[in-house]
Amino acid sequence: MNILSLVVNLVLAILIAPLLDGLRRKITARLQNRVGPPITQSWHDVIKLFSKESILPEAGGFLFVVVPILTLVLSLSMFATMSTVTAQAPIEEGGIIFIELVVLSAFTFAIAGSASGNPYGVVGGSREVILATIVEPSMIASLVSLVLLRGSATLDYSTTGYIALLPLLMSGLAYFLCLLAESGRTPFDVAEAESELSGGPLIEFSGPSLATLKLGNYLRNLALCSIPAFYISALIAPKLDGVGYSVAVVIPYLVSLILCTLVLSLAESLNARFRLLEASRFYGFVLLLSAASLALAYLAPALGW
Amino acid sequence: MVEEIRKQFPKMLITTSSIRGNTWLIELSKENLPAVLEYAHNVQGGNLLTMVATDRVDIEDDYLIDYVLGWYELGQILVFRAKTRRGEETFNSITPFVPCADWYEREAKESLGLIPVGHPNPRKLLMADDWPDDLFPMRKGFKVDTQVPKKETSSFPFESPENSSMFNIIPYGPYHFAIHEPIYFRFHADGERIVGVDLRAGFNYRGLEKIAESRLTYENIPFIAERVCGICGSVHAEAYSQALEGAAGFEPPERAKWIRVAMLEMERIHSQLLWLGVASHMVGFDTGLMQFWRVRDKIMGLAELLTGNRKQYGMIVPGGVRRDIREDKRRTALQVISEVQMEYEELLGAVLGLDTLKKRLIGVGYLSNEEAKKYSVTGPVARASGVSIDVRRDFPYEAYGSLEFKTPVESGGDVLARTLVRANDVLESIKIMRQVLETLPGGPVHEPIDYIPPDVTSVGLVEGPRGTDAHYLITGRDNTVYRWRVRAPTYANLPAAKLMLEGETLADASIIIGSIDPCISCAERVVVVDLRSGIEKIVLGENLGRRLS
Amino acid sequence: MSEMIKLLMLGIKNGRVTYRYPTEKKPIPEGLRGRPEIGFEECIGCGACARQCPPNALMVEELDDKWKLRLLYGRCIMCGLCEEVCPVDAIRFSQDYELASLDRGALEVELELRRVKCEECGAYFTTERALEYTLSEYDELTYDIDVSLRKMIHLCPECKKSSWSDASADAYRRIKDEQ
Repeated sequence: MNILSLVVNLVLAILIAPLLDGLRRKITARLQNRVGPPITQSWHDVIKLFSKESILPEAGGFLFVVVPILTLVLSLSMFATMSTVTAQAPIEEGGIIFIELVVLSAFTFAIAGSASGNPYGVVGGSREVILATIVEPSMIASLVSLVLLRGSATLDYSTTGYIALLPLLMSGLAYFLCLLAESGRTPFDVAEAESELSGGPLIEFSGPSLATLKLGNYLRNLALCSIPAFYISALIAPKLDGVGYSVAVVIPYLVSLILCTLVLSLAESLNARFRLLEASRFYGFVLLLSAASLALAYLAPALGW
Repeated sequence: MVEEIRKQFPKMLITTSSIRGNTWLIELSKENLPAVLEYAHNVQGGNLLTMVATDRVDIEDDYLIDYVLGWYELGQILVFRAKTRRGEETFNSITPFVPCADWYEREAKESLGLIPVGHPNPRKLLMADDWPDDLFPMRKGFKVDTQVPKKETSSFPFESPENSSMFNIIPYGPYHFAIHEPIYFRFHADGERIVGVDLRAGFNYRGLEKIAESRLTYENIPFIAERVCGICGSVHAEAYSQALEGAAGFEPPERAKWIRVAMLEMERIHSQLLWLGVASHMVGFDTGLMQFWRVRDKIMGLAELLTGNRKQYGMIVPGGVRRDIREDKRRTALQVISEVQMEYEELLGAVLGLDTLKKRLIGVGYLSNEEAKKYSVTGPVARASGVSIDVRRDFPYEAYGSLEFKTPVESGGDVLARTLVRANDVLESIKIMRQVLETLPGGPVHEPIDYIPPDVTSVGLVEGPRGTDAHYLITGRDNTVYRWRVRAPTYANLPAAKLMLEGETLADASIIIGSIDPCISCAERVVVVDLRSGIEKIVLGENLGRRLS
Repeated sequence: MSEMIKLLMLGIKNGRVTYRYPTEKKPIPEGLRGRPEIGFEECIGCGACARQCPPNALMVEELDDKWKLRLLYGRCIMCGLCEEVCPVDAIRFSQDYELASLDRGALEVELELRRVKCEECGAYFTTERALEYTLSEYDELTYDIDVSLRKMIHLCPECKKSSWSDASADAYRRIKDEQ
């Protein structure tokens, strides 16, 4: 257990997560010919929310108080499983735990919805469950194929094993497509659909609980946006020695963050919102892609790639 | 058409008289109204423009009940009038066979106390739930500044479909992020599918008609009329001015007519662009919102240059217009119009071709041709279902008779059809504005109206961005109106929303409601009381009971 | 797909169209109907503006020897009717559109003028300035000053009515005598 790595990850994550969201908002705004909020806006939002009072709905239960904390804890835990800017990961074999955390945290949104007792929250929660049920298998498949290709479940920057190009690219593509749904932004914000469902599961949260929920979401997004760094490092296999040591580790990470934010902003500003049915169809295709990449990754050594 | 009615009912008509070139007044007895109206609306295809009830306690000691029907193909308006004596505050409802009269009769009941006998569900329409049942604000005896005591309990009887206990109740509004209008829809939803719809209006009722009768003069009313709605203000000022000028037999000067057309078309462009942006937002396409509103801002800048304000231009008054368009402003205006046209066409091509957007709009919220006629819907909602009605073409007013333009009509009946109608409307409006600005005649822009005779009934019709706006006016003494009734297009379109919503999914609910382009401020005109707390209590209570496990 | 590229191009081509308010402000054209300003020196206290104002933003209060005009900006709809009817152009529309304020008192303007007494019955009827204005207009317009007519300007409406009937009866008799 690498304590230094863990501490660096957690501190960095909490600092950067809202900034990444702010960057996404800024890019989207510029594509829409607006000035947009400053990049630190999400920080301002979270801090302001902490200073407001939390109003608990009569229909909410004990889950209503627990879910935001649960989301935050799960998201933070994701940063214990992989390395971000350090060469060594906090724990070994973190990849599998990461996959489990991703799936778990996807469902906390849905629980948040039902916990509020508001019909909009319930409908939003049920939509989230349906979408997650469709998207998570693809996500799992692409991550497992990444793990297989790298030859180890430890999410750090040392690469061992064969890096077969085709399944890596397919898995990477499938991962980006899953990222769109996981981030919960247009075109796949069926659950949070502001203009249809008044915010879906988020509708009854306010004050510190909303702040915690949002922060948990930002952290989850950051964690998901950190994964492509491993695809990139697999492709260019940085040499972890000599002068370029820290640079060789930080660059794929930054590129991964910026690339993901760009993809998310472009998708958000150039598309309308999908209905559940169309989203399901789209992710059916993605499932095929990721399953194929998994199969190929599994067979790669046998095929001599 | 008067001849047809006379032939069909030779003994029932009492008198017929011509009010103006294309408007006739037919007086009947109360008992004969339903039969004649059924024939006129259902068989002869008249469009129910408005229905007005007036209290004439100070002149004749009776009530007037007027149904105004219009025939677009013939360019004729018929006012069917019945009188009922004081003490007999009832009339026969025509709602069972003419369903679009539903809202008008309910309003007559709650504001004047005239009970529509035979109406299936005469609940409150616009008054607050805790408004006392025996207080009728539009009666002449009710003073405009009366303090009204609230009722102890307030509840509203909503309609539910069969087996309603099986379904969730999803409240939509009155505070809703998407609709941008204060209206309350109650959906009974089976999962995501909507099974039953009911709606409650009245959140924006301001009592404008009462204020106009008591406190305002002929000159002040167009400014208040303009503020009935934020988006289609000029339309109301124009309809009022038209009705008043018609009552006085006055023709405004030529240049004034053309400038009025310019104002109205400018407003139409800005309103349709607003709608296109809002519709994009409702389906989650925020870039569409930003881009359409960017183009719209150019039009509002033009309005500011020509009229002094971005909205509520304050230009159209009885007698003409208030400001002239100077030569340099005219040239700037032409330039702006060309810019807008170029940018709009570019944008339209990019947005309407977007697959993700089109998929959200096709096949949703269908309204068939027969239903559109039955409910007397108007504007783009009607034109998207194949009903080709346009006041500019059928009842040419102001300078429209000398202008060339087309009326876009689609037959799809769904939200995409309505979007296309509105999108093409903008292109036609740009064409019209260019014609007007290029060939503006000279002359004065305003002439005072010398004399307005009292007790004249007059109807002014204008094609607004949302449909036909009908202002009904009875002139009074003392430089003010005796009765003024604003029938905005949304008033006619909203009841049809129920038909469009049933069977659709919740995801599409907001775009369907949005496709009517609801302008609730237009549709209502009452005093806001503490309705919100009353309604919210009801909804929350239901929610508590219906919490899903 | 091509539409998405077109939209992207639009986003890039048009740059930033919003203004960084309040440091950057959009240029406004002349003729904007902003805040109405009452010229305290010019106002004669006729009350025409208050009579025309549709939402009753301009209100007149008459108490003893004071004539007060109140303008409530909260009610003003900037229609411009007051500017149209003012006989001395005392109320003008500025181009100021930034009317938000945290202080309610800042949104009210009050103007007080003195009233004069009727020379016959002693009741207060109009403002000093309105009287001066009427007299100066009268002197400008009439060549032969009919002293009795000019005296009537100093009377309140009730006394004007009764003295007018006396004066017209006298004039009638004079004309009859001359015939």
